[in-house]
Amino acid sequence: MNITTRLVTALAALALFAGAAMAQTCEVVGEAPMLAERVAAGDLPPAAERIPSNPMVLAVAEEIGTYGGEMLDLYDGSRLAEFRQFGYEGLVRWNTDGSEVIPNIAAGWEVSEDGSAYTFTLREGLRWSDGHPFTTADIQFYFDEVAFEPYNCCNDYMLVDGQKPVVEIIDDLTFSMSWDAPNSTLLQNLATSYGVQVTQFAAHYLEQFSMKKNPEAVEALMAEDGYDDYNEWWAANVGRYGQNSEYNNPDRPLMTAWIPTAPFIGQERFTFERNPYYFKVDEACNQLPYIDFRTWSLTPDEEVRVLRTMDGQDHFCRRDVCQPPNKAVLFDSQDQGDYRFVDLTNSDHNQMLLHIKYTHDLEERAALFQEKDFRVGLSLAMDRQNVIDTVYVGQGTPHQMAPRSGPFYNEQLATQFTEHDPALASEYLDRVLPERDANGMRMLNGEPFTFNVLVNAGFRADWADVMQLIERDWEAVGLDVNVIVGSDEFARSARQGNDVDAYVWAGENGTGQLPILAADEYVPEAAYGWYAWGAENYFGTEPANPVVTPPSDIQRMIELVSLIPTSASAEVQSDRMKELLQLHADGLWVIGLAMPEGDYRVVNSALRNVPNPLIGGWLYPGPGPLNFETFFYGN
Amino acid sequence: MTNYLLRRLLYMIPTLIAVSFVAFAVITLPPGDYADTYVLAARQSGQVVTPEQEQAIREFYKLDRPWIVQYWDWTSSIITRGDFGFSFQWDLPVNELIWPRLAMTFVVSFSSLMLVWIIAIPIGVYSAVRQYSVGDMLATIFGFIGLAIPNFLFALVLMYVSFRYFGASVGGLFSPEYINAPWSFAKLGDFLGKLWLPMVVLGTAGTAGLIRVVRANLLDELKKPYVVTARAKGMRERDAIRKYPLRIALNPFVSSLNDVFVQLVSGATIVSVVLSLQTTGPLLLEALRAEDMYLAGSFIMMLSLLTVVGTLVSDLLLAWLDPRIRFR
Amino acid sequence: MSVAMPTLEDAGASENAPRVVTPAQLIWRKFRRHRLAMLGAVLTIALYLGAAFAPFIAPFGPNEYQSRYTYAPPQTVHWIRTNEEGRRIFGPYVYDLKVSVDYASGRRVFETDRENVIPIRFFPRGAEYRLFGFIPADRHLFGPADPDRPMFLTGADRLGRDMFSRTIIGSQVSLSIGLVGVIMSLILGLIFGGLSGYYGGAVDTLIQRVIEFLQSIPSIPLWIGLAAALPKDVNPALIYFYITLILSLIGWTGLARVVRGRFLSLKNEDFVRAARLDGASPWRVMFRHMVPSFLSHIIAAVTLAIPAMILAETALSFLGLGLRQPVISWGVLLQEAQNIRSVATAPWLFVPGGAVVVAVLAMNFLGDGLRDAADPFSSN
Repeated sequence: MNITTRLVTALAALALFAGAAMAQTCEVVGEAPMLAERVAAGDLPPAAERIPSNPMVLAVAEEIGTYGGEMLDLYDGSRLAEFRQFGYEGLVRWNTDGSEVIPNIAAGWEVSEDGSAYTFTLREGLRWSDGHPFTTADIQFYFDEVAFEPYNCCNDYMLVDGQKPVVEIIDDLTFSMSWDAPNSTLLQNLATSYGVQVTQFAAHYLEQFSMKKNPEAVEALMAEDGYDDYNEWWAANVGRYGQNSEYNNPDRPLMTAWIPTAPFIGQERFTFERNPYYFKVDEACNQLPYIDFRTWSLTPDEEVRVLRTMDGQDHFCRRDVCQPPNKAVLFDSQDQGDYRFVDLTNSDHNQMLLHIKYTHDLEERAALFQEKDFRVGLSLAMDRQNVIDTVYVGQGTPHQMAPRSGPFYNEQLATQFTEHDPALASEYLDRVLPERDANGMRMLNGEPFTFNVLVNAGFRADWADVMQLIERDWEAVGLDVNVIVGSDEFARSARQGNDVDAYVWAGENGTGQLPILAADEYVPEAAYGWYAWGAENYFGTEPANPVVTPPSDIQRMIELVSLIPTSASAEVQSDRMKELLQLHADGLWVIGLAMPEGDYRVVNSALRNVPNPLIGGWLYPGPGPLNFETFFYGN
Repeated sequence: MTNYLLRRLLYMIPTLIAVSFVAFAVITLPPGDYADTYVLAARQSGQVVTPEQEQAIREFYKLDRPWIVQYWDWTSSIITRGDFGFSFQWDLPVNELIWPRLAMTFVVSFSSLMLVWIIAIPIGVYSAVRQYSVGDMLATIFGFIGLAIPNFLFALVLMYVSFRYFGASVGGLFSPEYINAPWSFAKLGDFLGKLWLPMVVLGTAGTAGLIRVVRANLLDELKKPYVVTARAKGMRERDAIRKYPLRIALNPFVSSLNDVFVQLVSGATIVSVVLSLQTTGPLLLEALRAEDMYLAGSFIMMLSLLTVVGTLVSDLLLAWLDPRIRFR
Repeated sequence: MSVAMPTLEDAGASENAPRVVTPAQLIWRKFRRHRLAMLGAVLTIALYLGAAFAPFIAPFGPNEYQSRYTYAPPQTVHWIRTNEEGRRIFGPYVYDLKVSVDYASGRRVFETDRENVIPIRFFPRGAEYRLFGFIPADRHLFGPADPDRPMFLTGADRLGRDMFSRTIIGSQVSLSIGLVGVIMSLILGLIFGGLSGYYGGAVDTLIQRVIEFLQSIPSIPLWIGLAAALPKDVNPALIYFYITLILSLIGWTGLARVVRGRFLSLKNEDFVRAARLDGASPWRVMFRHMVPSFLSHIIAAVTLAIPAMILAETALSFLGLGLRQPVISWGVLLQEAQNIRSVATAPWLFVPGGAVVVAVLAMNFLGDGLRDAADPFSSN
């Protein structure tokens, strides 16, 4: 089928007891002319001394490239490095097609029999962008000063039953992490967007900002900058996970292929230049990256971003620009903008999922929503093909909330109740909502019943259109629907309210092993998770609130989510994930719309080594792992 | 007059205190706080934030305190240390965000404001003197088209047309190749080639209102007997218009000048969007939407100070323009 | 400058009329001579009639869609054709559209199919609606003979909805609720501005401080807060009505500053003093004597406020606070068109913008004409 099916072969953590870098040493190292000049002038050591003795060797997608060029990007003013197009540089990483975890900054690793201890070996001669060696001291600094401090986040995968890892520094190049129980998804998690933070902190430079190591000087610096809160000062100076302040200090050493030369926050156009100490080479021992400069233009407005992309001012379009609605206009400007289309396969499994609030404050509503017949009725009443034809120009396949492929594909779950059958839908609804009013609309316990669905059109404008069509489908089977459309801040505030019965969101991470890493996204979110309407009730810090307990199936799912990472074997892990998905197959707890298809990106015509198709995603932060450093400009 | 001025300056203090208090309360009025914004933004990029992490963010930014405590913290550090607090969105102190942008904002807003006045006042006068002439009708129709089409949409259409049919590069004050180049005739040409677009957007949208106001007020005055008398006595047409009627016709314009300073700081948002300039207007908008409350609060404090000063200046100008007005 | 303001009766008497003419008749006579004003009046009346009978005039329901025809371009109406027997027939029709999907560019491609004709019928049955909100009906003024065939006079939008019908129906909200807000802020602005300028002193100080204060309150968080506080299942048009009321409660400050400025300069004029000495109440002095002398400004302010109000709702609906589907207005339609895709490939989506321009121009000319007609100083 397509490349994402290869994600199927992703190795489960415990099957991978050890990994090691491709062994290749370089006698002669090719380097960019701009660096050769600096070497000749005596500003830089020779190329062979700047790279590790066992550099990371990247296979190119098409051909060995030539040095030079400036890659243009657009920047919306929020996160610069969200790993999809810049900054994906962790200890380990996904290979290009996402099928396995491969070494990156680490040269290799060993995993203990039960998956509770991991020993990593770093590459020898690895250097920060200022030339200082990258050693286990930098790893130590991360765990001591950053990982579990208030200013950090997003590394829950490092906790096993709440226990932090025991980090042992064995020598300059070797360290281990261990727990009392297995942490079977550690490697995959380190390869995701969240793993990157481990290798972002250069101890030799950042020590000066450490309150533990350098209290007087830090207090003096804080006083000079006018701070009284160390956490804030750290956030502003050193930066937090994913925030821009991480890249705003040109003096701070980094491991990325391109590095800032001046602070960029507030700049309209800024350029990063190649990292002379970057640790990757191509198969012919040429130091990467090929491209000299990465330049971003600040473009806060989305429509202006589309125009600038049409104008060729973005050499690899952003995912918010290359959306299906913009395909036609981008298509028309190919010559003028000097770009080409490249297909993108998505690891998202659904355009839109309907999450119902099972823990609704009104118990009669909660009871209705917990009836499977109600949900089956909703699903059967939806004319999915019509939505696909109208909103997505015929691209897509009706699909429930289920992985789109891979070991966790469950046919029953993926396809059940996706046909459009209003008569059958009515039958199902009649079992739970038999009463109707004079206009034929269904009533709940003798009262008019309106099903309120919240749509965040600020995030995805297509959802408003989809829901408008589905609203008609539901009304055709006698359900009064109120679609509430709003922007981000509206959706955010409605999160606290009790007058919404369901909301819609996208279904992500649906290929290969990704469902395991994103198991929490496969739990009905309205009962658990980031949007957790039920959170205040069920997990609430205030037990005084009325508690509507989630149904036992959902409670079991929540339990499974916490069990999956601590599985003692790959089989157990996989079985637990399958059990979770089977609960969905039996209960239809979340209603899906369609599998996204026909995604694309536009890429500068001269840009070479761009794989086709590309892969998009988040936990696989596609297209980030596609080796931007091997891209180059041909003729 | 001195007495009046002193009294006005005194009134500013309670006004500003009330504004800061209410503005802060209003900023924190929407349910949720910056932690919610953070969680939603993270979710949109794919990241899932657990309830525990969300709580940690809330504690990190000290959002778990009552707003009145936060208000007190914020105002007292402004007064004692000139510290306007910390921007959550940017992880930077507010001071580092606002001040560097002010110069650019001021230049953009000042030039657009001047442009609007220079275009609108003469056209308004012409429209009144030659009421229902072809020129007047054209100004009216174009003005209302400018008013009836959302500015941003209008800018989008112009940008698209100039890109599609004239091959102009989109956005920015300079084409990419000129940004870091030294000034030259080519660069100047490039700059002027870019400048027309925001000028047209401003010209139709920004001036229409002022043209209508000047035209309407001058029309009221021109028909008054004193103008007829002046003309009958053989006063030159230019003087007959400029000396008195125009002065009085500008009265509403001057009255509404009280927010001129605010416009200078927060205005010209449309120009910033078109040119992708990093001015303060979009920054404030984002701060308000994201509940980045210290950043938003600081802006509002600054703007309301400017409103109060602007009102005073506008009142003084009124008295200067029309000697019949007396403040005691 | 010592000419007292003549009253309307004086102006009437100065004309050599054979019989007594009331001021109203006089104004009407003058108004009728004003061609533009008459045009404005006729258009305004037509627009309001159109809004009242909108669901009847619109051939389709506002949210009726045909998924085959997303972004269909406008079809031209033709009048004369030759039927199968070679006879010439007179009657409106449009040509059918051939549709194909171009996956490479992700859009539908339309071709006029000159082989197939879609006749337009008068008074066909179509979408059900309630005229004036209560009379159930399903007849429309005109429509395609076969309701499932395309007839998009001004094109279709991204879901294949008829832009012509949507524009007509959108006028209902834009020409009603929005104007209430304008009038409200006009009244408040006149009263508070008038009091402030007329009395001066402590009253002035107080009102001006309130204005400064109101102008400083940030509106966006206020709207977000309100949007969250309002129940989600109330009629969206009603919510929008409340919002316009609140908008006008804050929006009067600009006009009040201007009115105050004019009052400050007028209050020592002879005609004002004369009226006051005549024993006229302050209210009468303010609104019968002072306001008319800057009526043009008020008309200008109102005509400027109308498009602003029509467009203001777009910002509100963006925050989830203004109109929500299925209720539509010109502002909502324009908001939907505010993207590159529409600009580049579907310019017919800007039809509602044209409607706003027409409406505002019509009201502006009407206002100008009324003012000229009521102006005792105007000579022609």
